[in-house]
Amino acid sequence: MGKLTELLRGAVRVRVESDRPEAALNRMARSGIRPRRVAKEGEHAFVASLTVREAGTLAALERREGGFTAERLRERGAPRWLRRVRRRYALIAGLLLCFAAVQVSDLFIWQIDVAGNERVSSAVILAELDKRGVGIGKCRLGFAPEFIANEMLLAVPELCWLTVNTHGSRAEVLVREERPAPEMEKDGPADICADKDGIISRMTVMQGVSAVAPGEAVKKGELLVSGEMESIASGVRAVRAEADITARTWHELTAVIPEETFRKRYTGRERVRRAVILGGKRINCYFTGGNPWPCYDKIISYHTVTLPNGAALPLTLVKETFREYEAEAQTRPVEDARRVAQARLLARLEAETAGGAVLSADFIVRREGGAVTVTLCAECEERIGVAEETIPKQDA
Amino acid sequence: MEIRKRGVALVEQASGVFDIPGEVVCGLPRVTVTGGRRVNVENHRGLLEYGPERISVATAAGVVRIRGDGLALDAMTDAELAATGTVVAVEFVM
Repeated sequence: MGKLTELLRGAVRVRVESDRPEAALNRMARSGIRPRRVAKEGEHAFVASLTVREAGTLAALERREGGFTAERLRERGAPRWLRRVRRRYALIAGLLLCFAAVQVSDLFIWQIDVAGNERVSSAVILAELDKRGVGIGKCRLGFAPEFIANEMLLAVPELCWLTVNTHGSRAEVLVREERPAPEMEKDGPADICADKDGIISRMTVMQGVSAVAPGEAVKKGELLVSGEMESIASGVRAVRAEADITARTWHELTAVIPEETFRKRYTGRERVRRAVILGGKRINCYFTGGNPWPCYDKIISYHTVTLPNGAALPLTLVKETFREYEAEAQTRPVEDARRVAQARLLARLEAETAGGAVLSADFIVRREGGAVTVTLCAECEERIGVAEETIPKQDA
Repeated sequence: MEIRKRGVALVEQASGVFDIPGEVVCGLPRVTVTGGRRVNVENHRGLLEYGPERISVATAAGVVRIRGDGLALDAMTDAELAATGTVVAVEFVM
């Protein structure tokens, strides 16, 4: 603590030489000088720390009364540093500018943390907040948290509560999401109808009345199992039809693959553009915009500046690399095109049949108009029954 | 000198009887030893001797002699001084 006080007040280390150092110390004490950290040097000298003012008093005492000689060894502390920088106007201006910049930057938002969201992404929330004046680099003085919260709840219906707290230049957005309503089990009366054309191969009815039998051909939308059941006791009653119906179906899919393709041949020419995103504002460090060449790849990399502790600063460095290439035409072999088309068609068929079995598949390949056309004719076995809700008849 | 000593002794006795601190009544020294590493002497009348093994201080009650090792004068004012170092003994030399 004593050393810290010395640094703030400034301290002068003096060497006092006298025939009787103890008497010199007594005279200094009587004159209001308070020597500190006194270290004896030999029999007739000592070194002590004094304040700048006390050093002046000591010099005056030496001139007035004599009996000892005092020598200033070194001076340190804030007053000496201030004297040194007094004429360094640029340094003082820089310090003042830094101080002003810190004070002014404190009025702006430089970091936004979103917490409490699970289904709604932070990017969506930040984008909506930005439209309402809460964003990186925006002044925080005009924030009206209640107004922002109401606007946000209307804009993002998945949210049920939101608040924006500002801590200096950091905004903390806390949200709570709507709980999704539980899915209601459909248990109303329903028929089962065909969702594709086909021939019924197997049919197991758990509830309802069969309208077709295995071996019969059905068209899309045709009734397969009725939900209206008759009983002797209660007459006609509506139930939810349940059945497992499998049918043979036929699919015809077509894919067209052009024979001529293009591949990139890089010329080796590259151009780099740099930009800085400061608080959400992009500052380009280049003068020539636009497209550099007719054909090029553009690779953009972002580097956010972070502190050693991992905290991100509102400063992002952007590097855009342009690589020129020439489109080189080449002819694709028919076999290649057929292979690609077949793979695509089989993937589409699998998606259409939703887990059904492919009983047979034939591919027809044709070359026409500079393209290879592949048609897939497939016979499959799949489930075709879907529930169709029915409105129960009201008794008169 | 003898009369002065007797006077001081009388005032000391009186301050004891009336339970008044001696350093207030007649400027008697107050010596505080902190942990064997620091000695504060209040109401001193001047430094008589200063060295790493011995510091002697004049007071109204005689000479206070601090003996030790690596003694140093940490601070000194007209009325108070503080010495640091390894303190072996604090003696009153009449």
